[in-house]
Amino acid sequence: MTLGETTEKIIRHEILGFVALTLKPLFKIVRHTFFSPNNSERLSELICETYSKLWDFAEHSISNQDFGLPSCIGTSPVHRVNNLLCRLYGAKFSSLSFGGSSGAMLTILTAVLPKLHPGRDLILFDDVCHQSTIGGLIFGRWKSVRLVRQKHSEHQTPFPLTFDALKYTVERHNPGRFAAIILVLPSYDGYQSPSECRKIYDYAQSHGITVIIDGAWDSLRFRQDSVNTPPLSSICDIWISSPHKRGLTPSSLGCMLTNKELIARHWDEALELGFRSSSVSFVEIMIAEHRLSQVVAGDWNESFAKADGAAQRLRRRIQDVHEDLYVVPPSDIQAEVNDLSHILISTHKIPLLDAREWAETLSRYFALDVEKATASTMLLLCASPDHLSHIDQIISSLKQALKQTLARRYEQS
Amino acid sequence: MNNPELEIVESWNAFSAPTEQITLSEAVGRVAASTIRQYPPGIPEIIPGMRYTPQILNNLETAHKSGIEIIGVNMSGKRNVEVVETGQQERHNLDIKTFDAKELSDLVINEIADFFRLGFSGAPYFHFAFHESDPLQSLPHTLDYAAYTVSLGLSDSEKRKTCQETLREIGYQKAMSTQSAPGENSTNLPKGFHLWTDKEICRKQIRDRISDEGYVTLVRDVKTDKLLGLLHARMGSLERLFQSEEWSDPLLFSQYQNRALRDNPERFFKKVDYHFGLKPYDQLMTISAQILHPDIQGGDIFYKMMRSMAEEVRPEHAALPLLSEIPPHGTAHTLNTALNDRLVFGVLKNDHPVVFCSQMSQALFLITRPKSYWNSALRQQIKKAREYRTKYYETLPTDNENVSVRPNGQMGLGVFATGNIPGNSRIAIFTGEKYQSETALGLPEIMRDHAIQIGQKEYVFGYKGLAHRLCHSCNPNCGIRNLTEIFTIRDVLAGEELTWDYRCSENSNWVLENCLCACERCTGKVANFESLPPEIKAEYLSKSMVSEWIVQTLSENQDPSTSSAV
Repeated sequence: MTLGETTEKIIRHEILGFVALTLKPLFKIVRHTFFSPNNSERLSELICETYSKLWDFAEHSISNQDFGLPSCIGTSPVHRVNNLLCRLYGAKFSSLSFGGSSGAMLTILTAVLPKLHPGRDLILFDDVCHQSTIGGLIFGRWKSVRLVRQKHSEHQTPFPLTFDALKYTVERHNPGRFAAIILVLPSYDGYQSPSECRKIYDYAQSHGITVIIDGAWDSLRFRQDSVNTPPLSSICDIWISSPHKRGLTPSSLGCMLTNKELIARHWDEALELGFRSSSVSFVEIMIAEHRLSQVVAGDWNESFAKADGAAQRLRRRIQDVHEDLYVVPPSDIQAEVNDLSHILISTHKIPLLDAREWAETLSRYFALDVEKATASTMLLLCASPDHLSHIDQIISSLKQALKQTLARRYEQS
Repeated sequence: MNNPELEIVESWNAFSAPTEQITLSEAVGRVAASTIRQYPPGIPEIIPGMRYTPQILNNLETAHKSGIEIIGVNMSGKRNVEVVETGQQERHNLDIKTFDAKELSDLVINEIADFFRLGFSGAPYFHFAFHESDPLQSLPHTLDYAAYTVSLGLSDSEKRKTCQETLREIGYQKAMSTQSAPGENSTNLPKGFHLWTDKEICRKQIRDRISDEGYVTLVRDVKTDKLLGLLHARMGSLERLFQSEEWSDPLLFSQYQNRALRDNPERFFKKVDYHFGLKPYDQLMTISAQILHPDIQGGDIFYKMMRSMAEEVRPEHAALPLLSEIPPHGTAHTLNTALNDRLVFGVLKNDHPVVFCSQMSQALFLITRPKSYWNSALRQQIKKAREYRTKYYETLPTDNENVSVRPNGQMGLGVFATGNIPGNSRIAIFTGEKYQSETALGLPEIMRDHAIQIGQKEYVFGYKGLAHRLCHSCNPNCGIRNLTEIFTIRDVLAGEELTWDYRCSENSNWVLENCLCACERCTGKVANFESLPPEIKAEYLSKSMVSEWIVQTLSENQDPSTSSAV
């Protein structure tokens, strides 16, 4: 699938056909409603039965009617959904993956990489990768080397990757043994250094090493025009992400993007071999198609602008909560950029405060959940347009929770 | 960890190894067999294959105290974690090195000989003794040595062999029923017999073998320096290896009932020449010994031994053909099935196949690849082997050019005309070796399935060429002449399948229970020529599509039903 193809809506007349087939149970429901209105148990059974039939059909039966199954290359309706992803993320090939980005990473490590690099046995993986990478390393039977990331002592967040550190590790072993380098970009807290990643990719290419980016925590990449993330082709061969971070797809869907046809073909072969989910949810694909079409058409631009505005405003106003709080700037941890929506608040200037207790108070008494908290930092994800209209309320909640937490601390001390 | 970036983590090995549970506080220095991670965000602190360090324990403790959920260990309970068993770690503490055979000192050769000798102690009742006239023939301890001595004096070689085989067989049966192993010096053997495990003789034999050019891979325990494994590959002329290896009795080359070929090396060389184009003076490689101490038995160790050897083989040896006896079971066999371009050449009477690979470097090429690739290659080999029976096809110059081989539904492969073929045209000739019917029973199935009868007790095994791909039909368009030549009995149009009636050359007890030809004349069951209805016999004979030897037999027997036609 290439950029610029026109998208078409998924044909839904199959479902209408099925609805016709469900007229009989519907008739039963109507009859039951009129003649046995008191037997509510039977009525609910009939409704459930009808709903279940509809669901089963939508979930599974359509696959037998030229609906097409997820894969990179092809022209079925599902590929047209993939095409939307290609346009949004700026890639030549993409594929939805079931089981989120974890499913995609497992497929890449266990079925695609062994074919790409049959003669290599090592994988260099980022210290901050998550469990799906480890699963892939185990079941792909790879030997691995950790790319150790140092953490900032106060903010407890990892420093961005540097080319020198990576090169040192690769060359302590034989570069020719490495099949792939897996990088987490950005980090869980939203920081990254694209220029270092460009150097890493150039170096990897010179040794024939595939660079995979685990972008599960990247909430912005799909907006090529508004963020300063480099194009896919300059930093990696394979990029894996979770479009649901910004609500582009239901949460069970991840995606794999690449510009290389060979990788796309190996991916499709892997899916054919059984790496495709056994219960492909076409309802979720339809939801994804619906949302992605709107995003591509620009219908969500206003919402995104509101969400960005909320994040910016929260960053600026964080000292309204407490004068000693501040949002960790990229320069503090030697990063070049940070994700707008991830806001890492440092509390280290308030020695009495443990940010984890503050987070707990927020969750328990103000129904405001945070992404993560350490002793001296708290991470907020501000990615919804609703945040803009509630920014005062958010600031107030943060302030009140902080007061309560500190008050408890004073009492204890 | 001082240099974590230098540690190579072998997650699968740790994940699949035997594990034990210990408390977290005892885990420092041990290899993890499971993942432990903080949540959120789910970034692992330790993964299978990594070693526990005080830093990791400290991280987990701090996170737990601050209320973060730890997945993979119950921090509020016993804090048990899974680690790789210590024994397993020690088991991998082996030194595997390959040496040029010429570099080995006498001391090491004696050590190898003793190791090799004791390696047979697992089955001492089968390999108890030998007679100096036949040092490669092991004898059981339950053998009637007095009777065997008498048999050695028989002048008729046939009778001598039959007698000895019978005595050995009785001895083996007795040994199997007693299941007890004698002590090394528990029996006073008659003159001329020696203990199979005789230290000096074994050392001499090993020294003799290692004097050939070759490679020896030794596995030693790093701590004790004890020898635990041996892989010996050597080069030599076909003639030299034939005389010193145990290839003397592969069923493929013998008369039925295990008649040894060692007395008839010319026949062996002729066969090897026919199949592989190797002359007696040609150099080749063989794997003479592959043995592991029971404590370290496992495919991994064999893999590492083979890989070590493959990496050491010099270019001048890499191009040699490989002809080797391979055990049919166990880890060594599993590994050896991955040899590239492998062809089972024959089966020894101990059920060990003799395999041939056209080039040693090709054969071992996969071994030099990482294990993940090897696993994949092994699967391919197995798949290839499965497909071999239905897809194997190699053209011969005698094959008709206007035909092609392609799948034919449930009949497997069939031969189809690609152009119009006039009647009386040659389609193919069964080309192969002639065998007596008794010998045929010992042949591999692939060959037996593609044999045709050319005499009362004589067969041709045409496993090359088009002929063996021609399907049977009860209403055929081809026949057989000149004993082995398949020809058209009428004009055949393009696209039509070429078939012949197998009964036209068959007069044995062979029976095909379910004929699949599905033609109007199908008899359902296909047996020999005698089983045909008289009118069809007459028709076949009138069209001269029956093998000459059957026609001749019929004439001799004066079969009334066919005499008029003849």
